[in-house]
Amino acid sequence: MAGLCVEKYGAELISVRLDGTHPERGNRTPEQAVEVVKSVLKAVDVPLIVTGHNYFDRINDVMKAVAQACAGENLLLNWVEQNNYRTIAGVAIAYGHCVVAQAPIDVNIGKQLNILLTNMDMKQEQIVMDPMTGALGYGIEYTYSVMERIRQTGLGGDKMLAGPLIVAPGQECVKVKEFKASEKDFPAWGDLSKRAALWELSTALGLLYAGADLLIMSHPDAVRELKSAISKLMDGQK
Amino acid sequence: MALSGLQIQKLLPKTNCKECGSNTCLAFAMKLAAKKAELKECPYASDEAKQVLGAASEPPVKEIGLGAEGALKLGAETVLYRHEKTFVHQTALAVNVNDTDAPGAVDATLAAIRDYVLVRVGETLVVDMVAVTQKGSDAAAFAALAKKAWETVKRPLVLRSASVESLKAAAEAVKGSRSVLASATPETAEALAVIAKDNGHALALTAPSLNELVLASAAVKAGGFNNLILQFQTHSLAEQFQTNIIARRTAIKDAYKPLGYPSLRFIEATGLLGAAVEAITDICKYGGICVLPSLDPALVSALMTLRMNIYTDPQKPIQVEPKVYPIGEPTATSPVFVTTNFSLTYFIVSGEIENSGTSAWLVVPECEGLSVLTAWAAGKFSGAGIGKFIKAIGLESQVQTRQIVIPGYVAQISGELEESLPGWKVLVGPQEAADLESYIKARLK
Ligand code: SF4
Repeated sequence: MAGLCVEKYGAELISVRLDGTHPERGNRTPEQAVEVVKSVLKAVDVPLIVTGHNYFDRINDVMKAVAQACAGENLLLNWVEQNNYRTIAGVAIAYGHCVVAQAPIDVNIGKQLNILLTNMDMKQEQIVMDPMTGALGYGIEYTYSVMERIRQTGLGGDKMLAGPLIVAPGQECVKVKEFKASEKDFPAWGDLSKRAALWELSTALGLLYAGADLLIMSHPDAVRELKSAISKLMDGQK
Repeated sequence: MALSGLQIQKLLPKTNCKECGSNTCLAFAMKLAAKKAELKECPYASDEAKQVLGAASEPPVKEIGLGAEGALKLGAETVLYRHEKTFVHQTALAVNVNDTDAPGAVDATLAAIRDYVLVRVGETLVVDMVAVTQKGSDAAAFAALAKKAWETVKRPLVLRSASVESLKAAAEAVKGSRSVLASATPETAEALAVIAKDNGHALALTAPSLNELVLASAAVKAGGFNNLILQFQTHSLAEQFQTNIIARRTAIKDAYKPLGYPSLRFIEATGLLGAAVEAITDICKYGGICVLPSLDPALVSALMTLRMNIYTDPQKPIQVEPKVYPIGEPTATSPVFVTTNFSLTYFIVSGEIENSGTSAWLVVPECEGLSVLTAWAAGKFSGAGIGKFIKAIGLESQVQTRQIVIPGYVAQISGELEESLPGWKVLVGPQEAADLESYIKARLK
């Protein structure tokens, strides 16, 4: 699966979501999580994002185990937040990984969290900011403006807001009705299979223009088109 | 460019006669600078003052009105980023028909454009314009198609032809529609400006480079016609992105009038996703009119949603109507939830309940569009207020359920809510909507 994402769809990173370690979604152990991450590491040559969940007690143990077992792999541990950062940031520093610093659509909290992390002796180069987003039609405009403000403030010289930005259009889009409802029920929404790709592409490209550096996607067609748009934007080719 | 109070004062009579209601001319000038007064309140203002202030108050991007009543507005923008203020007039979406298309296909497309309606967060959205492109050589046939498009759809047109004669015929045929003639080159601009003016249309200008384009727009304006739209000739996505930005930045930051017009773009990518990329780029980056090659509801609904998001006033929290929303197909015994009428909160909460597969009632009282914690802190999401709202809308006769789930962040209101709703039990739900699904599974099933 991970190999397919890289070889066929051109993924430059793989996000491994350890959702199954959530007590209500499989209750898998940290050891099982380590196994999964290791198997993906073995299967692909690209960097990994290790994505957790919001059950802090469990995810802290899971991230700790993964960080330790994959010492030196420079994983991107996704995520820490204001109410839960010490454990994960600590193991990231100890075992040579990066972290995603998540702040709820708020420039000030984002900055504050970066300050907390760098105060723990985390290097700025180890921090990727997640401004948190909803899908197209579900509050994306708030994130869009927060990202533009973060980027402008960063470019204006504020080091605590100068980091790269990560967003997860894939994960958000699969939750929404536009990704599931049939054309029969919503004729104005058009064909579902086209719409799903378009919804994720619109979410992702909009956020790219707002300043996203890393985008976690899920729809293969949206990934392909987004990648092509990025390369056209970068090299100016048609 | 906005003028300061002192700059304005120099233009006033300086007699301090007080007729404007201010004690001094300077005080009045300060009010003008802050846009808290209008120059016409001073009966002695000179023509020079009127002219200078009038020019200064013009937005850096000219406003263009299209359609019979001029109701479809473009331009008038004053900022580069939506968080600075707000974008004023959203990108207009048009769908194209060609004069060489089979007549049956044209009729079907025109009817589809006319009938397409997307309802989203309480707003009804339609395709704004029809583009009519001449690919054949018969000016009369082109004009007839333009007329048909206008009469069928009743929305302003983009008339596209390389021939001045054909544009003239079409412009006359749809006089009164306030459409766009597309596009004049530096060579044809003078002639087409006359045709546009005589028939009450706007004129799109195009040229191979931005330099030639600004010379052309300055020349047409100097000739007395200013109802202009710019069509940039770009050859890659990067160039589209850069040109849109360079033009708008120059117009706004440098108050450079020759680029201070809305833009027009014909989407040329062939595939659906490729077309989406170009259109998304225009919507995010200052596009005026964006012409889609065909009407695909999947594409149009995504673009209209993006456009709505980008063009929402960032200073005004968007709200949903306060009422009880059915999620799924709830019955009289389905669970009842409450959240605020901040639309993002509403959409996330209703989405999560829906994802759980449970049908429910979602009570959304008036909270001025604030999120849960902000509304609570501002006293707009109190136990007493929610209780009163539930009584007022008659929920107690609509459902037999006597349990209500409140957001975890406002656990402290549960006592007050139980007091104001005798017979009800208040359950404290999770803080984050993302945990609603597991909460529902664990507690309500
Ligand atoms: S009415 Fe005009 S002249 Fe009189 S005080 Fe006001 S600004 Fe000055």
